[in-house]
Amino acid sequence: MSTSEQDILEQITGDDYKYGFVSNIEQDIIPKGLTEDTVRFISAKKNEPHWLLDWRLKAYKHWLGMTPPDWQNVKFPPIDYQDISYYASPKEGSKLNSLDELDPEIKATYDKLGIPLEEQLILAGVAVDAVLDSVSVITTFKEKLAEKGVIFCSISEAVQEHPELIKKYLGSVVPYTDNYFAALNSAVFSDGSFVYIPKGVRCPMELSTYFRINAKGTGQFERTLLIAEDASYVSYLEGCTAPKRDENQLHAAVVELVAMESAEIKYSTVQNWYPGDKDGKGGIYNFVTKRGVCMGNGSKISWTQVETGSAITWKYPSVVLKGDNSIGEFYSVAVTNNLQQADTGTKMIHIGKNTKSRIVSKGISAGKSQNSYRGLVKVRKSAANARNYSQCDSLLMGDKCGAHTFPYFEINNNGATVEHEATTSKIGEDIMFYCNQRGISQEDAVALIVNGYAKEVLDKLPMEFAVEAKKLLAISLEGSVG
Amino acid sequence: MSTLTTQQPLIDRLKDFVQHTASGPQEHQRLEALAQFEALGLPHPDLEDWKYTNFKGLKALDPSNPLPILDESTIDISKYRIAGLDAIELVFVNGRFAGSLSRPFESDQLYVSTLAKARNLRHHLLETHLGKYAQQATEGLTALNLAMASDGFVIHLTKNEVCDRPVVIYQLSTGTHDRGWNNQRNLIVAEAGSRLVVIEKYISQSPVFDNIVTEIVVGSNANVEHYKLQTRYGDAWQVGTTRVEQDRDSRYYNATISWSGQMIRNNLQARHAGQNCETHFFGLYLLDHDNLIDNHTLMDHAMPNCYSHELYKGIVGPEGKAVFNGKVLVRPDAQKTNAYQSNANILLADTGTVNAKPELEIFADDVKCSHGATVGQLDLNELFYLKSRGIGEEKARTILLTAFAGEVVEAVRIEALRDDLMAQLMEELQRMQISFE
Repeated sequence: MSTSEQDILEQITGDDYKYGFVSNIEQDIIPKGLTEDTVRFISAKKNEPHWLLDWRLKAYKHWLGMTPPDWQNVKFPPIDYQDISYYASPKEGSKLNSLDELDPEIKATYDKLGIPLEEQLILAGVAVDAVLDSVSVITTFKEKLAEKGVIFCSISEAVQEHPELIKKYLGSVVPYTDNYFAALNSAVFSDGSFVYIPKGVRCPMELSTYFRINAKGTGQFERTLLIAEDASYVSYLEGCTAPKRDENQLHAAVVELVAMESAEIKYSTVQNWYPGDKDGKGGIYNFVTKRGVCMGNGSKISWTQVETGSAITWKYPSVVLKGDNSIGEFYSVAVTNNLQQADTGTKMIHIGKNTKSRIVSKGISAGKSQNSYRGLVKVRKSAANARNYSQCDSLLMGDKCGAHTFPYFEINNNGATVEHEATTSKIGEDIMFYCNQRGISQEDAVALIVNGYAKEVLDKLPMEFAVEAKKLLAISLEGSVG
Repeated sequence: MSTLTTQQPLIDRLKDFVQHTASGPQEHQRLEALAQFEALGLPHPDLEDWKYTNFKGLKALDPSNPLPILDESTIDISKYRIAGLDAIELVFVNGRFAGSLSRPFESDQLYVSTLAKARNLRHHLLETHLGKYAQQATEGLTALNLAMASDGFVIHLTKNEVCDRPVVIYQLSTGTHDRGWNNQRNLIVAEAGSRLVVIEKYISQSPVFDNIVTEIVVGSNANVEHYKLQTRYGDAWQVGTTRVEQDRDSRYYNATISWSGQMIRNNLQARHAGQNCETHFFGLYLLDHDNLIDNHTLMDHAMPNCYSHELYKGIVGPEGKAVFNGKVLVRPDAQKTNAYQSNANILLADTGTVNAKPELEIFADDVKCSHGATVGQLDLNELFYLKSRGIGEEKARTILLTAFAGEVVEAVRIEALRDDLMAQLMEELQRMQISFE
């Protein structure tokens, strides 16, 4: 690396995290620690029915008997689960009907983040269920959606208003026994989003939730449940930024998707939580369980993610292809810089006949970071004519980082066709030279090349997100020239 | 491990065994290895490396109980000999060296003989190399092997020596119906500038469990070609670990061909200790009827400017279970590494299973690494093409499968061996076809 590149790299990595600020909103926080009483407190606070409390308690008891997983390719000090506050909500007030009634502090927070909650929102045609810490503060566009019969609300609201749907589907895709963090989430989940698309409805707009971890020392345990009935379509967007913190914050979310016959769910994520400073201090632990079931024949679930933030990212959005002719897709760009660690990928479980899946994963590692792809393609005996194509590329920038690929294939059907390709390389000197020679600076050239490299995935994002994602890629990587 | 308590008496027995059979400087090494085994235990599916391969019956076997000793004159090895190959030969029957059946070679420049003999005659060689490369600190069976093995083969070539005849090692197990445990330890040292071809052939008429560890040292600018054949292996089990250490500018070429044996686990690991090394791994596995063949390869790029190439192919029939785990590790500063790995599988029946895990672990940036893995079936268009030209279904399938598997057999550089394998491959594929009907 030449001196000038080194300078650029230091300048960029030395930059403070742009979205690191704390807004002072009064909050209800319960004391740190996790006991049965904590679970009861959260449940009572949310005025939940008995069956849900029982479910939470069962999850809590199951969690007590589990040990944290250690197989992932990331390193971090053990988490003290008694040192986390499990509930924080903005001071309760009366429910709001319009934006004007919104707490100006909260509103200012959103404005700083550039969330189009006002006119931009209408222009962009985006309904936002803005989650500030643990309680949904406001849900917009509800009425327009209600016309079509689409339910889009916070999960605590759904528990009150649509208990039959929650009872039927909550934990049906990711049971509380699934893994350590799913059990923890099931016990203490505070809030999240609920989406229900009725039969034959094409959701008229992109649904979007901006998550934001705000209160100091508060873990966030979001729970998202999305159900698409027969022949419906929905595109769901999720994006996040978080204020700067010195201690590590744990985020263990669970996302469940259910696609019925011929339904299609498109789930996009842009994740830009605080990654820690360049010495690896602070940063979010992002341990998420995301899974969708293609329940009905001909259904489709598509995950798209752009992961640039978090100190540690550890997630595998998966699709269970249960219905015949169903399709699962996974498109991912994961960027790690400085001391970030990412172990991410997907699982495609083929059960139904003629099921198809496609995996495109692009990893970019810079600085001293470690970036792993870990994926499973499983073809059960029943999945005749299953088809999978996986492609995992890694781009390395700098000689101190690592890129790893751990693809698993478990094939039990002779009608299956499974293909996997992976490459690892750095940005070629000849390509850089070509750009430089035409007057494109080192930094711009990298942004250009990386955006081209990730284009296949970025193109899958809805317009609004694609713009943000491209900016994020540039911010995360400029100057990390290898 | 939970089984430690039940293993306790076994460990004591093994300690007695080692103390009785070993003496001198090796006793210490063997007891140390035994302690390592005690800590590690036998492999079990909870370990990531043994996730898909469960040697369930292993616990019931006694590693110190020797296989029967047979009268060498009653054994006919000729039908297993590779036709038309003029070779230096070592024959082991039930883990014991069969001198009257072998054609060893000993000179100042070239030593092809047994470990037992080398323990007395070449102990400097053993002291320098034996147990220095294989991973007994992390692999229980490798540790056990070091502790227990009483014999094996040792090949030593001195500087710039070219061995113009291939060395063939026949490993035969016979004469019993009980599954016996055989620990065998081998060492190949090819010093700088030397050249060697080694063929290991495993033959089984008894259901043996072979726990084989082979350490291979390839000196600078030396060239070692190594073939491992598990083609007449009956109902045997094997955990075979081959650990290769390559010095600068050396070449190592391996082909592992397996189409018999009930449960096979091959660990092939090569490490580059110097620059400009070249490594080739080829593998072929054909299996059906409750057979399991597991190939674990590790290509450890520890130095810059090295090249590796790997091609493993498999055909899996009904009830067969194939496992492939290929890892390419590029350590920090191993710049300009060029590594390629490919794994292709054909599944003939939906009762067959393929578990593949091609891994890349890369810690250097200026590298070119890629891998590919596929699982599929015969192309119906190709089949139709052949059938439309009057070739029967079974024959057409055999032709296509031969073409698929032939790519690996073609990689065998010794003509006599290649022809022999090709003929057997056709037979074997025909057999698989019939069993498939």
